[in-house]
Amino acid sequence: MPTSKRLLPALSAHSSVVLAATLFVGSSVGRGAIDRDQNQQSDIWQLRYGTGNLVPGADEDGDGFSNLAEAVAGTNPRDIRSAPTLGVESVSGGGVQLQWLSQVGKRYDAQLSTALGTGAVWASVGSLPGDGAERQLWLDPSGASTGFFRLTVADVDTDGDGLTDWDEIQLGLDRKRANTDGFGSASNTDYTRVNTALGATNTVTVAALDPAMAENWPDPGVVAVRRTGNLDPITVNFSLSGTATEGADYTGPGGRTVTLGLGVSEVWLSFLPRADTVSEAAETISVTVASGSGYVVGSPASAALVLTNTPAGAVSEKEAARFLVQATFGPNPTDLQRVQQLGIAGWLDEQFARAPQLHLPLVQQWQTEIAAATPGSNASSTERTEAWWRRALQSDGAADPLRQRVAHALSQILVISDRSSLLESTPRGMADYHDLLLTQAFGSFRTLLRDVSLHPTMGLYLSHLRNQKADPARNRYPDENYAREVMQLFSIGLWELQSDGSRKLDGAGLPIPTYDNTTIANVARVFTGLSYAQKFTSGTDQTIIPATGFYDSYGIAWAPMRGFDARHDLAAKPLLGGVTLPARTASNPDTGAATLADVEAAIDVLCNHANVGPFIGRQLIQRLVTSNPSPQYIARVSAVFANNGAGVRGDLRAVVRAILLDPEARDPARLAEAQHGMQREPYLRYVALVRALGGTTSDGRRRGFRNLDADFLQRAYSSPSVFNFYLPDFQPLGPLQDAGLFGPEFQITNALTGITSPNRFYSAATQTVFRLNPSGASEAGLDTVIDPAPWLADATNNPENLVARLDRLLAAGTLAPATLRQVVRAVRRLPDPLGTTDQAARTTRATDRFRMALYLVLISPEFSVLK
Amino acid sequence: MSQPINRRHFLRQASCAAVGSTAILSTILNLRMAASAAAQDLPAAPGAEDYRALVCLFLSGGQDSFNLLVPTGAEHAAYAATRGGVYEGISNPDGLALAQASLLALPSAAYAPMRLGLHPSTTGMHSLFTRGKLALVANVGTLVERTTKAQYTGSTARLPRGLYSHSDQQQQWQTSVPTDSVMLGWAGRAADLLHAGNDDRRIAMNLSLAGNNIWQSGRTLHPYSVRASASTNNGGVYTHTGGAVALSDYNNTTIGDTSRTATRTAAVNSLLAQQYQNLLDRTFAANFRDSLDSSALYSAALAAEQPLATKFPGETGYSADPAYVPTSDPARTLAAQLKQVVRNAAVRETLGHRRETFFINYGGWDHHDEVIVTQAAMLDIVSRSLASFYAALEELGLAEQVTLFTSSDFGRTLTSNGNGSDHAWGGNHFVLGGAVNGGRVYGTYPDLSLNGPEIVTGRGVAIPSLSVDEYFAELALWFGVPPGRLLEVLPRIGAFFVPGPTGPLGLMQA
Repeated sequence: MPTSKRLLPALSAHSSVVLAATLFVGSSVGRGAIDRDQNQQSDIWQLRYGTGNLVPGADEDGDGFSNLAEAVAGTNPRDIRSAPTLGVESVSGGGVQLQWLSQVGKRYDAQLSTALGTGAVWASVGSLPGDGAERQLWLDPSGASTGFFRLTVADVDTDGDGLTDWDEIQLGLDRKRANTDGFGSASNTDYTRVNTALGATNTVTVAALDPAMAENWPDPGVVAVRRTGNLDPITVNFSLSGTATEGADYTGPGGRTVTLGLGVSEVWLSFLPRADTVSEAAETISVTVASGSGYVVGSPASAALVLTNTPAGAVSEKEAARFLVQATFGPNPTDLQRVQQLGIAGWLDEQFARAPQLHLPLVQQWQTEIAAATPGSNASSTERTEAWWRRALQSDGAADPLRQRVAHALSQILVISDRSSLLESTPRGMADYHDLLLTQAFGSFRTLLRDVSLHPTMGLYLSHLRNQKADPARNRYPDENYAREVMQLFSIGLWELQSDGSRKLDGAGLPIPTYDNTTIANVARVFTGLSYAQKFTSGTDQTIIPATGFYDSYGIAWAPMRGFDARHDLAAKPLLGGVTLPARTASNPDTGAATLADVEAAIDVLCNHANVGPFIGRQLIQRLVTSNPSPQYIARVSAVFANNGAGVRGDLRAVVRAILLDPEARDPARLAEAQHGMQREPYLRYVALVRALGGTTSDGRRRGFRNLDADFLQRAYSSPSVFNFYLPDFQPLGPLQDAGLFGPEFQITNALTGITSPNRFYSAATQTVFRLNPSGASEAGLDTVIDPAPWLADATNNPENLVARLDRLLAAGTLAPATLRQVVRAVRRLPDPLGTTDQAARTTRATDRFRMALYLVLISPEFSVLK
Repeated sequence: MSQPINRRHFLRQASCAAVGSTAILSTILNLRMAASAAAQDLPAAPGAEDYRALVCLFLSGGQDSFNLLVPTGAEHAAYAATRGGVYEGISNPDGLALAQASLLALPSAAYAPMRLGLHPSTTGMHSLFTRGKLALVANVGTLVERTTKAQYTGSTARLPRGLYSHSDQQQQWQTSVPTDSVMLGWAGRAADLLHAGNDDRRIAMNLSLAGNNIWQSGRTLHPYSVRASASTNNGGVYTHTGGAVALSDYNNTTIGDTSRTATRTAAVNSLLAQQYQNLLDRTFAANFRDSLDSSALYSAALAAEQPLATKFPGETGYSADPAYVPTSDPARTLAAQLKQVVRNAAVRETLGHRRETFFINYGGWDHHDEVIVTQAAMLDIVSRSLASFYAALEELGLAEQVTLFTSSDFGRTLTSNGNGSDHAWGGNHFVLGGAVNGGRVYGTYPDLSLNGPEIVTGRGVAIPSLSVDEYFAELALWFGVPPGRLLEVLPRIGAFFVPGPTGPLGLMQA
């Protein structure tokens, strides 16, 4: 066994200890390594360094290590700087330190002997795996007067497939698995597959991985250059043609060759669109493989990209899709087309003008049907949830996706929840609450907050319904629940804010509370004397009549509460900012006028507080655009909240427009910023799936979307408390927290939802029909079903286009080439539909491919995070 | 030449290598593995098996705990007066006091200054108290410094931030830092110190039945979420099950060129192995990867369990009482979570854990309304669930090694708001376990007169006489945090207690 030794200079340590060190290459070619040319050197190593067939005992680079030794050590035999050299140093305080540059996949063993030559007895003193960096060992030769160290290097075959770890790493294989990625069989392991490949001929093809380019959208078109056959490094020649001009219309790859390195089966050519002012038809870029050495040209040999002309203000499909992820529950073909037709601002104006598509009328209609079918029965949360889904999926000419989306955002700030049994039992009240948010979504924040404060569901949820003035003799005081949350969560927050959302500080550098407990007690006095305004006539007569008593039974929760001045605290109330509400006189007869006057005045005080703009604005931005808006973005939105341009404060239409048209929401450069974006709400990702794929039901209803919260920890109006599903300032462990950034939705992202969410997408994508209703078989006949037909041609003939279309529709075209590649690779791995002539089998195979592509896109981080 | 390479050098190497490499830090699992840098060795176990677990039962919403622990002697009169009289559905619906005779009296030795009793719903807990397994801690709360009524009313006291606010007080009960908004909880910080001492570090020692939470979030470790499934029907026999969830059609041992499972598995692995530039992408991918890896390990560990003989509420065989039908017993959800703690502790050796914490969140205590009726039902749930929990621990011989304690946002106002109570401050808590010096009430129970020396605001808010730091210090020291490093876990403990080998209260056995 030829070896190489190299003695380093003896080290003079503090004592008389004499030390030497060497690196001793202790094994021949790794067990079973591929050596087709039988020169004792790994063929993979030869390809890695392009050595060809070297004489093992020679020393090509004259670095003192034979070619064989370098092969075993994994170093370059043609580079004098790349060698298995060993350094040794004394360490202050005694002992020595060995150091060497290690390679991943090799194992190193340090050995000590007190003599050299025939008297040498080498004993291991420490063993380390290579990690690709410099490794060090501290050794304490206490007691020895003379010591010689050496280090042996050996190959490892962790998975026992016959291919060394080092070789597997060079080839991009899994060194811990005999069948990388599950390819092959028990008898056809990585070793046999590599061995076979090394005897094969390369065939090169191309495919358009991301074919859609637009002049004003800086997302590159991508062409994959692939090879099958061998694993050796090759250089592929190609040519460009088509109507677009490199340099003028796009920035291309420059040269006309591309290299596929050792073991690499696919590389990408990237084409970045350039904007011009010329109005022109869509242009094309074609990539065609030319012949060259080391490969044959396969089929397809060319691939085309389409570069869309986008004059000023025009919107590309990817841009429209990204906007719709922000502004709606996700793109559908109707809205994509409409945004491209009208432009973003024009589409917003159209949406602002659309009438709210209300929920309560739907629930009432079902209520009537249910009561007619079974007297005494009532609509339940099932019907309320269905109304939510009906509106979320609506895509006709009256649909109001922006309004539904903004109302959903508001429902996570002005929270009520059916986890409260009081609310669970009034689906009509909750539907009406949502209608209130819909109606006021583009109106005045002040009106919204007033109406929320007077809504019976809020009164039930935060217990100010039937709250009454103090009775000190009995130690009974007003309920402080609503008073606290209307300030802390619904309007001004706990701390005085600058307009950019940062906290104001006092002279000592401390944040300044917006209010204290005394304020809360006084605001609690404002919210006394409120109860139901309307009621059913009796338990059996559901005719609605006015309620006249504070404790009247059969109150209905879908009409605003009224005041009862007799139950209201009429005395003066000091509130915030030096404002004191005056003492009031009870109305007679009791219309509740004094109570309502206090409520209106208190709402004015809250809504005029400078905090509202930054406090509510930041949260709306977090719900729609990004978890970490810049202070400037918040300040711009706050300014619009303070004044819509016409002197009006709290105009939510202007605020929503400002949020969605802000450069921070629109600028495509943000797509590439590491801290931009938000995790899409888990629940809304599911809604987006249904919207995108246009699922239908046999009777037009949308029953069954109820059982999602266990898997997503989220469902509209079911948060665990008034603090919503997550807090605006939640920071997940890891890079976000390290950077001081927030990620609210990560509060419900954990080891359970990390799996239950993808499993929900799995069952949606892989049932025998694409049945989206999570409640499963019991809903047969009422299922929302996807028709896979529009996808099957691409699944059969053009998997790249299948995946690219899903990417644009679901993820706004943000899947990176690496992700597109993995999804395409998975699709192509499944049985080829064209491999059978049986039409039914062909459809099954194509459907299988579509399911796989859909699932993988839905679980990808890039789909899950809006940029 | 003994010990040629000393262990510290190896550790230094390992942690340096980890810190220098972005690749190795790309998953949360590796973050856990690299956690050794500041690690504290666990003390060697003398003889007996060294396993200790802390269970936090968080009663979120703010329990009205002056109705959990109530004076039964002469002091009952002041209590009843402040609470608006004894509740009576027709004649005094606004009253919040419990009738003297209804309370479960504690032995006179339990608390010298006055006679106290427990809420009538807590018969199971009362029994554990009299057996010496359960202790009460009176009037605990978040404190920046010891605070007197004069300081409070004169506005000269430094008060916790966001006092009386749910979100702030829940956070502070979990961080033990009332002066600032921090995202690290005291169990998380304890795990930063102790996790490296576990034999197997791949599964976080902080296990949560309630998803992400601050209490268990540390610098290097965050909680591992597992689930409990209440009353699972197996051929008419209902048992609580739970554990990790597996990803559908994902299997790293499947082989086949066109196999759907192999294809999906390879694709998922590849997507999660990518280096994402966007920090949210990266965080999302890391959580997904960690979920897959942890799920496989945890499921394998639980597969080794032996069924428990003890039945929990919601399980067949728990009780013949028709009120306790498994599928409708209101205690079944909490009971299933407590059972999951026991099941987990039973496989501690397979998991390689010598220290574990568990977080259970039982919410719904924000009783601005209907406090009397609802609290009675909820305390019954707690009491029955804990009775089964302790019996199961005894069955496994783990009673001395597992300690459960309660936390809650705050106590509630003593005065009524009609039929409920509002947010207040100090409250009463309890600790359960064989290692507890039970059968006693620790701390100082306040005079509940509306003008009492610790009662403020006119609404009946109790200024805590004991800080959460003191309460938690007992538990942290028992858990294995060395006195010299207690400050790293409870940064503000110095304001109340000079750390020594024994806790400030004597709550836990040595």
